[in-house]
Amino acid sequence: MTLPTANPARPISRKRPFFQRVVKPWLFLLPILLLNVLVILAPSLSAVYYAFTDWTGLGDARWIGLENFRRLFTDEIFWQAFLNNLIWCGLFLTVPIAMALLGANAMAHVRRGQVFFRIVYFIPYVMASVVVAAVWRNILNPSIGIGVQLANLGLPWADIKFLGDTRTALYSVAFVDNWHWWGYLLVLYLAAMQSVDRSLYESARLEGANRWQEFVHVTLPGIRPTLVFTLLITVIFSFLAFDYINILTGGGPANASEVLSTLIYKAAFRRFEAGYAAAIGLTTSLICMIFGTIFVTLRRRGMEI
Amino acid sequence: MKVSKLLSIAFAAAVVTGACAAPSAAPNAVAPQATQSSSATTSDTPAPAASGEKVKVIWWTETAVEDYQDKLTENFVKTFNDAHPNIELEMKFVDKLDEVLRTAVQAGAGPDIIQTPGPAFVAEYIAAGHIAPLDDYAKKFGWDSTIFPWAVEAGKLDGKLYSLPLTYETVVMWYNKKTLADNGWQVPTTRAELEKIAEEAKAKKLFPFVNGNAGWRGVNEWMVTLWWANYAGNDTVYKALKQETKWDDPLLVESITLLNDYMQKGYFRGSKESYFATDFPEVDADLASGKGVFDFSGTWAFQYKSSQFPDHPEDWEWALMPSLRDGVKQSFPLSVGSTLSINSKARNTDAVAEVLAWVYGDAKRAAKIIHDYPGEWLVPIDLKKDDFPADTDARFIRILEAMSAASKSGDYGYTTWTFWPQKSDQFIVEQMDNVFIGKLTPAEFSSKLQEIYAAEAKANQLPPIPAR
Amino acid sequence: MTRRKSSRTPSLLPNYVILIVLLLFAAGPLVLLGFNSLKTTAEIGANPLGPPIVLRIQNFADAWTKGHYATTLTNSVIVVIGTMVGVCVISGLAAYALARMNAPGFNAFSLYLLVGTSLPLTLFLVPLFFLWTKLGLTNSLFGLIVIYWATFSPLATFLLRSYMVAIPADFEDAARVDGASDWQVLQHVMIPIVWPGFLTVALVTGLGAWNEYIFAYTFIQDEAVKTVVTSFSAFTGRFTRDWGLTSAGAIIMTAPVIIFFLALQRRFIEGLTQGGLKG
Repeated sequence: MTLPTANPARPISRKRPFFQRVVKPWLFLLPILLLNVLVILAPSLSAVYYAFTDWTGLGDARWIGLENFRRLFTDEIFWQAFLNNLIWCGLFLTVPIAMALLGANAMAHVRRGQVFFRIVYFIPYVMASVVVAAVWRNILNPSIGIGVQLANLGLPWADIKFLGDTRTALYSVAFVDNWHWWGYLLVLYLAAMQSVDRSLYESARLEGANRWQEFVHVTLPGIRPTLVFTLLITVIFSFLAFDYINILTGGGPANASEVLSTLIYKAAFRRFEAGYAAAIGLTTSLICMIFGTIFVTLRRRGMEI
Repeated sequence: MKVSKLLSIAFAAAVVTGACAAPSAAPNAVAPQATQSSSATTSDTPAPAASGEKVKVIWWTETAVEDYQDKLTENFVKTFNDAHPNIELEMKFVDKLDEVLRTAVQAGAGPDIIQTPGPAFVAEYIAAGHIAPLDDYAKKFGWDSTIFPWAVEAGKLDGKLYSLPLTYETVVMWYNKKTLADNGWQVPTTRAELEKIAEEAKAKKLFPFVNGNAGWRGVNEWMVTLWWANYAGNDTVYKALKQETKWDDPLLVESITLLNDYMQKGYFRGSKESYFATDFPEVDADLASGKGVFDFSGTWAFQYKSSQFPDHPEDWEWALMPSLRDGVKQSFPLSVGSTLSINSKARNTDAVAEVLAWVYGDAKRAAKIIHDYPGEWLVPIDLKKDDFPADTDARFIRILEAMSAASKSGDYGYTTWTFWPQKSDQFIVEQMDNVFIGKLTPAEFSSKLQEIYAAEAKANQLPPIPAR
Repeated sequence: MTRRKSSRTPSLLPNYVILIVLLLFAAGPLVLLGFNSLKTTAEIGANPLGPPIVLRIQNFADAWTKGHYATTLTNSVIVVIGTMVGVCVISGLAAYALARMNAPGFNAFSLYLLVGTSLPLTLFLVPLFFLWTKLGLTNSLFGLIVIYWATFSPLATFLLRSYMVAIPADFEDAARVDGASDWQVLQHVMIPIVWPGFLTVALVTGLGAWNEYIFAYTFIQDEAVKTVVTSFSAFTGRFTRDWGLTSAGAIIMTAPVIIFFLALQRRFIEGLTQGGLKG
């Protein structure tokens, strides 16, 4: 992959010695490389081995080949979790992005109070997931939470047991994560919007464009790289989503909000099936890798994204 | 050209493997046998003591409400250290103990005393060689006679003793005396009486049963334990445990069906959604306020009673779960809660054994610990009323005496988290959710359980079941 | 429809409406958190959504002592500073190389960094714990910091790289003509220009380190070394009943971040967006 750069590195002449050309640059990468190998790569590689064993997390591991994967592909809970990740992905590719675009666009034109709004929208993002989850757990409480309060005020249909109903569990958790996440997107889009050339808007207005048309034909194209970046990280993080689901529902009730990462956690720490957990983990990483590669290949092919 | 190509290929390979990173495992090159000779030391594995030097023993235990932690330190750790000048016991309160412990022990580190949530958990550690056998110490300290035999049995595997029971528990039916009095109800002892109250409660828009499993999925298995014990009866359950009958025996299936019926009728908090969504604070509040009538929970709940009923502590009371079928006697399902074992990597097992002996050695000390930290550390030794400080709650003494009697007579029931093997136990916890939402019928649940249980039996993973 | 409208100012009312609705969404729970932190448990039961009738400031004092925040806040600060400094150095070096030098294997390594950040955390824990035990790095803030260096550097490198790449190479060329080495160019030319980027990276990394909890509770058991997340999770244990106390604890944990963020918010947000993601 050749990363497009504003100023491509100078072509390095063959005449420069090997040291200059190869070793010196790699010395700059040495710290990150060493750390990565020590903390991430080495432990992970040893774990790859376990995906092909029946290891329980304690004791010996017996090689069982692709057995874990066979089990995985025939396990309906695995597919349910995978589906939930896809739903999660769909939710996060739409809701927070739409909200952030809407908010950023509204804010880009507003002078007064912009800083205030920006700060408040961003605060949920700086809060730790354990705190956010605790706050929302309280709000969504089935006995004294908002549902019950609204019902008491005359809206009986509002008394939904958000985290206890199989139909709403996943969406409720996604809602909480969204509350935490969208502010980050807003801030990114706002800055990108603010660096779009003003004159483009003026020429659009001169041609009679209304606000919606301005948005679609000037703003969106103007922030395209940022938008695409956020799409990519949204997709990848969707398959790794863990914190909120684990804290709020644990994947329940009855696997209704189960995702790949909670499956891994339960297999490794509740059922003593570390080998199986490794297999799920490997599969998850592969999925992320596929999406990452698609993105990068598209860029490489020069697709203007 | 060549170099760059090589490097690129190498890194492509690294990308593939690195990105495929998978879960935790110790490098397999270091096989368990090898590590015994290696010096796998951490700050938590004490060095052997030179004469005159103190031996350090580390114990990781469950976190608890702040005050209880202090009391435990005062009543146990301090008394031990004062009495044993050559040993220094350090008790660490670890958040998410079972998870962190597995990680640490597997890594060859970890505390001297391994405390797990129950016999099914410690079985894995034993199988992996992480636990030192206790038989010699049992003889030395007389544990076979001080500790209730059935509780000791729970810690044996292949005839050897590996773990000791730190606490033993039972599951009962808690209620609020005021609620019953206000509604003109008597404590039910039969199914008919229970259902009558449930229906009347429902009509009054009260919750017949307050339980919810949002805070602990395992609440499912408290219910299953009670329903099996009081409908199918302990003899049937025992037979199934021994595989003299199967888990899809009609009586056992009917027990599950009855439990599910109650759930579908809305006895549990009005709806299954509410059951799935409700955590302990609300469960407790509802019992105290009279919004709910019965709470099926265990003796571990004693520690919360004073904060649950701050203004009227005289209102809470416990009773046995009603019998759900004619001819089935009410009983106490007993369980071993936490277990204690010695890490096979502990440097000075004699010192560690001294700490363990201190747990069971003195009835009065044990009683004081329980008095200050009710509900946990209920060591399964014969405790009498006189051992307890004078201000100990009478209801507590009553249950302890009852549990003690049940232990000695052998007339007790079986809790799933003590007498079932790990996978079967997890199945029960997880799949009851599916029964409640209608994805599994009670019959399917039972036959699937039978499959899993049979497989574990074949693989010799059953915990020991004392003869009835 | 021909409407004479000033090309400058179409009505901003719809904008404000949108912004205020979003504000309620974002701030509502925060306001509620604030209210609840000043109520007793009883009042929360009776009055769950309204402002407190009696201000119970005691909650904060209780939360402070029960959560041992004095110790844990200190520990977290140490961890955050250590992580920020380390990550800036490590990713600064790496980003400079990736931005300016085109050595063989760099492209593949960049891809690895990008993709390698997508690894499920739970899978790491045991082999890493094993390694850390052998190295004696468990129960130590330094051990935790090293883990954070490794996990936060890839993203930081990418961010910094985008900044650097957006700067014209003229100054550096001039310096090189004068005989400066790569290292000197980095130190005396690049960093002074790109320091907002470094600040951003430091802030983003610091935020991540403050809020991280899985590694924090796995690798540290000693009370004296625990970080602020473990303080808070003690309040949300299995049987907590005092939501007022928990809310106060939540605020104690989040307040430093918010204060810090408020002080530097312009830098923070601008840095996060400037140059970073265009390339």
